[in-house]
Amino acid sequence: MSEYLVGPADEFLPGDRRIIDADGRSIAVFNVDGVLHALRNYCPHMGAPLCEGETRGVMLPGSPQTFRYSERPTVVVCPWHHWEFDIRDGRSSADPALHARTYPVEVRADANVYVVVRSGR
Amino acid sequence: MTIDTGAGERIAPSRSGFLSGAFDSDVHPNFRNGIRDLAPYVESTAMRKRMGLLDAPRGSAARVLRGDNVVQVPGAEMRLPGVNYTNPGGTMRLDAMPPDGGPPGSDPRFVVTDHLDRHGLGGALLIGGGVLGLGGIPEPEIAAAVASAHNLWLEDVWCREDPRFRIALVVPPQDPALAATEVHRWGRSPAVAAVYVPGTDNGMAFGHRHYYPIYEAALEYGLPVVTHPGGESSGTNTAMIAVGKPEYYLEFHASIPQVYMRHLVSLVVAGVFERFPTLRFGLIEAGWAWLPHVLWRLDKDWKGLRDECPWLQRPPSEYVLEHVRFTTQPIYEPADPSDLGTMMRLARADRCVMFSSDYPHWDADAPEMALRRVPRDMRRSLTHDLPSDFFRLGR
Repeated sequence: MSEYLVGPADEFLPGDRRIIDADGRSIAVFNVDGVLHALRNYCPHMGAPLCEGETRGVMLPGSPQTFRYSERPTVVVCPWHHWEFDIRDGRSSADPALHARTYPVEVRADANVYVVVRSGR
Repeated sequence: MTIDTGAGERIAPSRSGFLSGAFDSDVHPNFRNGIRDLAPYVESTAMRKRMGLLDAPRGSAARVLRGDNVVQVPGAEMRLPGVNYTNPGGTMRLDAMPPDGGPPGSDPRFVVTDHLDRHGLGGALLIGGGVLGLGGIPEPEIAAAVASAHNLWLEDVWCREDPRFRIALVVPPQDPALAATEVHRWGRSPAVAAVYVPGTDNGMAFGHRHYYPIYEAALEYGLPVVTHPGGESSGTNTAMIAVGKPEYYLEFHASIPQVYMRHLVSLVVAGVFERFPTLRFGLIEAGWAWLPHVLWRLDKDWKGLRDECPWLQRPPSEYVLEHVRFTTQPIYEPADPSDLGTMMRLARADRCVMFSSDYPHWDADAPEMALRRVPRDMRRSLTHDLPSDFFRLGR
């Protein structure tokens, strides 16, 4: 298990995102509504830098020809093919079998944010 | 909101190096400042005036006196037609933006490092991203002027940067005589790899005799003719109205192959490859997995309908395999990835499909990832052998 320093927790505001290099692994930490989440910056579809894409809300399902949009920014959109992944659990909005890798994020007693990577992940 | 972006993980070139020296049959160079980029390449002052580019790069040519000041009137610059449907996420790969800004695909040096060098490619066909809808410009002489300026721009800005960039010479499908003139202007240039007739939807599929002067001109120089989607629904073109026009970008985009099925059937049935027995024709980004169905049906129907087109001496599918080439992107992603090889065998892909990425468009393929499911014994024909033969690379 390895831990990677992201930075001081009090500098990490809702809507912020930071990308760190974790021994060659690119990992993004997001603040969604005050909660921190970490995702691998690698799209499971074709390997694009997923976490450099737009973060935004989601269009909600409804009856045909109606549109409802939830503005809570809960997804990151891949910069290549526009596939959406939920920042909170890495799940693809379109394909339940497809996940972006997620990691635990912790704020330690030193008031810094850390990402935890178990070996081999 | 602040965004820090670090150095993202980038796909490393494949260890087996199967892309080393490969030719990419679909890369899009884009304008940095729209059509103003072409102003230095429009020789005729009258045509610059007609295109609203007299004052470029300052902007509109139309100016009026307001009080003591001369002010520019916005909107006098011509607009290049593009697809009329809106992709909510834009049509570019957002990570392909040059480091100093500007649209993806607008900085030749960055395309070299971000695409050619990253994957070890030996060459790429440049299909102008700004002129995909050129066939929808209403005025033929303006379409021809845009095409000429665009070809000069490609040579000056792109091929000068890296000789691996090869020109798809854009010509106006509206006016085949003017198109042929452009081909004669460039036919012997080593920078040109193909004559590019933008995908169009003007009521005449590519087998129509309207286009024959373009094919004749291309043949004089041994150049293949290629086409590419983007003209459908652009400008004065109709919107692929086979059974009614699409209402959403998704409908438009997913229906693109339908248009190219029609072009392919038209080319064969009209006897284009009997009339021009050495013509090579490329349907770029038109798909290929539909070939087994269309070619089987064409052959089957032909057996009972030969009286209609007695000029066809062989089954239609044989003309296609001999004369027509298709491209990989978007690579098919069957539920069981091992089925890709089966699909390729059914489509005779080893004879008619060439590798393409579509960089930097939003639906581009990552070359290594896209081709890793292609059976090893088929890769080299896609990446090297077929493009080398089709574009006469190294001639």
